Amino acid sequence: MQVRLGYIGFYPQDFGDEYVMHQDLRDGVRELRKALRVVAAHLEPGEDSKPSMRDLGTAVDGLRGSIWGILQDAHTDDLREYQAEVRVARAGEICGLVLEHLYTATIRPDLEGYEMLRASLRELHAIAGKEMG
Amino acid sequence: MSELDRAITFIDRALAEIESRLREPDIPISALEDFKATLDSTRTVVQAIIGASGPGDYEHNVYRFRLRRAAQVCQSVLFGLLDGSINPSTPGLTELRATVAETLQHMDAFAGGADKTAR
Repeated sequence: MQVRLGYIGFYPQDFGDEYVMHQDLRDGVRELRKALRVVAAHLEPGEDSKPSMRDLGTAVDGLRGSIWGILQDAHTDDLREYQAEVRVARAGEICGLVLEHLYTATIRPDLEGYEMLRASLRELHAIAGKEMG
Repeated sequence: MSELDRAITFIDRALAEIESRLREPDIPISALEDFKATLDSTRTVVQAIIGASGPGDYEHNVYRFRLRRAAQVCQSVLFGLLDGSINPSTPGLTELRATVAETLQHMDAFAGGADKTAR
């Protein structure tokens, strides 16, 4: 009977790089959940959750960096194109999110950053129009 | 349930989902991309909470961070277009241009309305 790796007779080295990658990510997620539990434990009235939130922020940043590294490694052959695609996708997502907030009027013109984004969008729209003809 | 409770519940659910996916022997790159997008949202939540001076401040901060982040990301696309690393063949650019036009139209109309109200 053939047994799938990872269940019986499991040795980490059998997975090679993939095992290491998954293990790193699993460790990162565990660390993040631990940080989250610490934050949740500080939610009692009068408690300051900010120091633990900062730890949580550090854990998030660490994990984001690891994942970005993995994604870039997976695209070594077309890294430049991949990075360009990711930037465009990210811009589309966040503009879509802002648009939703505009529809529900939760983002208002008096918010700090409104005019900065408006100017950036105007510039991007003009340049993209010129480039795309 | 406070905004912070809600945020923590959201992050915890997302992490549990990710943790279960990481048990799969072969995670597709698209799953990691989704994971990174979740972490980006989580980061905004964490920054908003750290920057909030009180419970009512939290949502205000989330919107403020989103506006700032959107401006930064749009600037990075703009630089990409100018240096040629982003060009008409980049997937998603046509859709982005449409989203940018719609967002700008709403922002202009909204700001115009606010200007008239202020007068």
